[in-house]
Amino acid sequence: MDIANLLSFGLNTLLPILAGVLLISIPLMISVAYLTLAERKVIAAMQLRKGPNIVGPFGLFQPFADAIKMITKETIVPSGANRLLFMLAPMMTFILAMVAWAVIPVGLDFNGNPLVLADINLGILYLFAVSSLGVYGIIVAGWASNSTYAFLGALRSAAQMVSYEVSIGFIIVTVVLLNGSMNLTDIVNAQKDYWNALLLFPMFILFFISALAETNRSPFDLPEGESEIVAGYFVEYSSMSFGLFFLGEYANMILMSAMTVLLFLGGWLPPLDIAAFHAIPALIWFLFKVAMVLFCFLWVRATMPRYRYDQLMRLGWKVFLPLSLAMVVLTAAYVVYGR
Amino acid sequence: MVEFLFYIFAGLMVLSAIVVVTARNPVHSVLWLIVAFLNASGVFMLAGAEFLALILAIVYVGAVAVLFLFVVMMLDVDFEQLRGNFKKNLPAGVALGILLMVELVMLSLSWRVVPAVTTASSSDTGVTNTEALGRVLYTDYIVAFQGAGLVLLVAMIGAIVLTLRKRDGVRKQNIGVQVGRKISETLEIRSVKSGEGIS
Amino acid sequence: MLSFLPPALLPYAPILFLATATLLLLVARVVVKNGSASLPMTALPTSLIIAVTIALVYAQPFVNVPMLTADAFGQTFTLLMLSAALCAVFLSVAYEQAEPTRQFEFYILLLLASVGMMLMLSATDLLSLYIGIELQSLSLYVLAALRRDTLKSTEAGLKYFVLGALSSGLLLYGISLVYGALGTTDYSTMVIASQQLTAPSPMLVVGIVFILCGIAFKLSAAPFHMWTPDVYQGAPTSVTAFFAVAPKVAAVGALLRLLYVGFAENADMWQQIMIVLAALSMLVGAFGALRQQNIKRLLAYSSIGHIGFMLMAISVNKDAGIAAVLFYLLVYAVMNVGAFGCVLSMRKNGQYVDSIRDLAGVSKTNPLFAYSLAIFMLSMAGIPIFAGFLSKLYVFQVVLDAKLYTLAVIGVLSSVVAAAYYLRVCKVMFFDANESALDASPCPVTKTIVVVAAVANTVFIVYPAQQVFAFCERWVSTLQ
Repeated sequence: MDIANLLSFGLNTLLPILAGVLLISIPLMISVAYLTLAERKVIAAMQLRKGPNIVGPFGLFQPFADAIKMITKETIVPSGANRLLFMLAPMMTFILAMVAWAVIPVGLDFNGNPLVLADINLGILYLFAVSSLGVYGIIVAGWASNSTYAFLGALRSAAQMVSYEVSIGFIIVTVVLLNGSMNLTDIVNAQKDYWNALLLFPMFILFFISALAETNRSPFDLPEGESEIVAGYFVEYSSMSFGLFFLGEYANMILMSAMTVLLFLGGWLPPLDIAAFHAIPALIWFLFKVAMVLFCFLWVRATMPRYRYDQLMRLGWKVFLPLSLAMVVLTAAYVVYGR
Repeated sequence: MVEFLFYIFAGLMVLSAIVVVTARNPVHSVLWLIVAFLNASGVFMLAGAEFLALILAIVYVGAVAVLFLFVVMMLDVDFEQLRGNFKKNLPAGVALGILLMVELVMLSLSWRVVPAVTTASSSDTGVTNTEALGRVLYTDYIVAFQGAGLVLLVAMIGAIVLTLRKRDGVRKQNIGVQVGRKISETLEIRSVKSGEGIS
Repeated sequence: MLSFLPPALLPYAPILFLATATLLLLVARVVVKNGSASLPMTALPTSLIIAVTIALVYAQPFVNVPMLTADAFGQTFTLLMLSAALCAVFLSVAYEQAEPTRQFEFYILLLLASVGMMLMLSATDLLSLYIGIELQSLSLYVLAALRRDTLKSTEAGLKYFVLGALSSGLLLYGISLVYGALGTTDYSTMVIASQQLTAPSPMLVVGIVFILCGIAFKLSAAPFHMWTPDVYQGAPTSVTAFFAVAPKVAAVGALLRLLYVGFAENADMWQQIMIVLAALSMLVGAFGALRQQNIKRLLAYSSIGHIGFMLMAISVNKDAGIAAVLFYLLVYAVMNVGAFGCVLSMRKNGQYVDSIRDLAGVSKTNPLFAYSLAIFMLSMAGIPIFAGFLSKLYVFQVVLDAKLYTLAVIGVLSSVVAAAYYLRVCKVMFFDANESALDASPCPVTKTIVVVAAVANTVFIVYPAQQVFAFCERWVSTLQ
């Protein structure tokens, strides 16, 4: 392989991939930054407060101020901590939250092809695999910190995520059965007439609640329950290693919202098949829907009290699991006999 | 390119498998085991079995290894103590290891791939990997598939039989009863005259 | 009888019925909540289910389906295995009533193990064989540990599980090597593939060795027998009574089909292994039992010895060997069911006893029991006029015909040694001084089984021996 070949390989193959990665990850980071601001603003509005409003107009520069503060602080590694794993854990969380985006189709380009980095056949399985790996960042962080609070938080979190993954898996199976594909683009296109949220309404609700639990969000945020175990698995973290957890958690929120939209709310398809709606670009529809789901995440946080641990487990294993299992059987029966 | 990647994945898998056995800290062992699983998943991916690759990642890495990690972290196993008998059993272990090693070398020298095996790949028949798997799973291999289901059922029954204990005096939340309460049963409204209180 | 089933399901009918009925029983227990499950609620449906399955197996048409077959060979072994399981259920009733612990799960797991054993007996593919073995052994691990509050039972379960998991791993590894060498796991295709092998394949040899190690463990053949005495002793006696017969029938049947059908072309590879296993098992069975004080451990070593005899018959690699194995297995089943019936009626001061010393002077206080147990012991020792004598004779004849003289000498020697400990049990019962009497055996079911088995063992040589012998000879040709 000579230099010219190498150059053309770089230009033709690597560069587009690199550009795609940047095009996805940079807007994602900005979205995460502004999601934190949105959260504070929305919750403040629901509690009749103003929220951050000092840094910049309407507090718009607040996320950047937070970021600079975070970066300039000192990184502290507790004594007795497992240094390597301690530093590795937040990176794992963050990287896993990022790589999942490789298969998410965010809209259509000008030729009508899906805007996605890798349009793989088993996209949904890939997403599920990556999200099931997410638990390691947390459990390793809890163990490596050499702290009781952190360890307790990690155990809680891992048990919670593993439990809810089971029902998420079954919910995904119902969608796959109904749409007959594991490719995310195909799943969205199969929802042209009816969104899955209409056909599988109970599963939609279940998926949203499971997504809350999977991302450790309120009302299932007891891994970090600050009133009992101070801050759970990341209590020992400071500076940017804490920041990475923070970024990872919010990126995961956006990811789960995107999954909800793709699986149940018709992805980038407009709600009604009329010309006026089609005038709006697919990307805008997708982002709008994701924003709506994210708003629900924040809304739930502002209104619901936290679950107790046994209630959480009971809900996962005794309510969601049988319901989603029954729905798998029903959907399969419909697919075989119903049409 | 594929060959190069295969050797990377396979080499890393063997290396991490060795570290699983030699690591002093059991938690590290489990983490290396996870690395080995992920590399195995990569090898599957290179072989064109992407469904198996992802299922391996989901089931083994996402669920089984997490439970491993749970147990290992909480048990706090002391490997040094377990290795106390190491010296005593060393000669037998070494002899057995050499025996197995000789057998493996014999195997690798005689390794020939049967022609029928190489043509059994499903990638060139037009159906996707997942579909091909589903087809044989519910036809030719239905007995083994359903039998495996029964094996899992036995494992579940066994785990429950051997561990479930009914403890007395434990208060459990009965959500049905809680939700089914009526105002008339729990609340009594009285009008209180000022300065008198309720007896 | 089975015409309502779609034809595609017909060959699966017995196994399907057993599995479905078991699952329904499991669900029924959840729905019917009458406090603690009463015994009729569990033992009765269990025996009914097994009885119906026996009828279904009997009425089954002979067909091959993917991974399974229904033929006369499998039918005979399945009937024998299911009858043994049924006897175990009957024997367990009194025991479970006297010491009720988790009886419901006992019956459910027994049924699931039977499903696994049926799979093993009709498997024509290494994969279905493996699944069957796993289903059976996983149920047996849990059964062994069923009395989880006693140290012995948990120890038995744990030992059995750890060693069993290792042997399953060996089995699976062996299967994968055989698949690598032959490119198939189906028995009939394996034969064709081995015919086409141009050069000897070490991979195939190692694969067969691993597979045989795995199955030898399930058979408790020496040198893979270490778990047997501990598990026999530690497990609840009702479970041990089940362990002693049905799983052995299943494993021997599966081994026969595997060696005589699947590896028919590779006899030179497995014959030596079988000879070694047979010789070691007979020796271990004979010498290991000499110092045992516990009747359950004694029976464990005795079963290792008997397995040795069966392996000796298998190792001749002739059709006559199969007939001898079946004959031996029939007699073995009757002897062991009877012997465990006796053990299950040994109660002193309201507690089960299993020490041989406690049998002292039983001949005076409990003659029926003493004479029955004596008959079983003498029969196991191979004393003439009892059934055990004929079965051993048959095996020796087959082995001598095949000119395996060394093996035959080892067999004779070990049965002489083994006779010593069988006779010791008789001596304790009839000649030792009486310390205290056993409780009267309360259960008529157990009594009936013991008496029937004892009578059958004694008169066998007069009446059915000739017929059974002819049946075995005729039936040999059905294995293919």
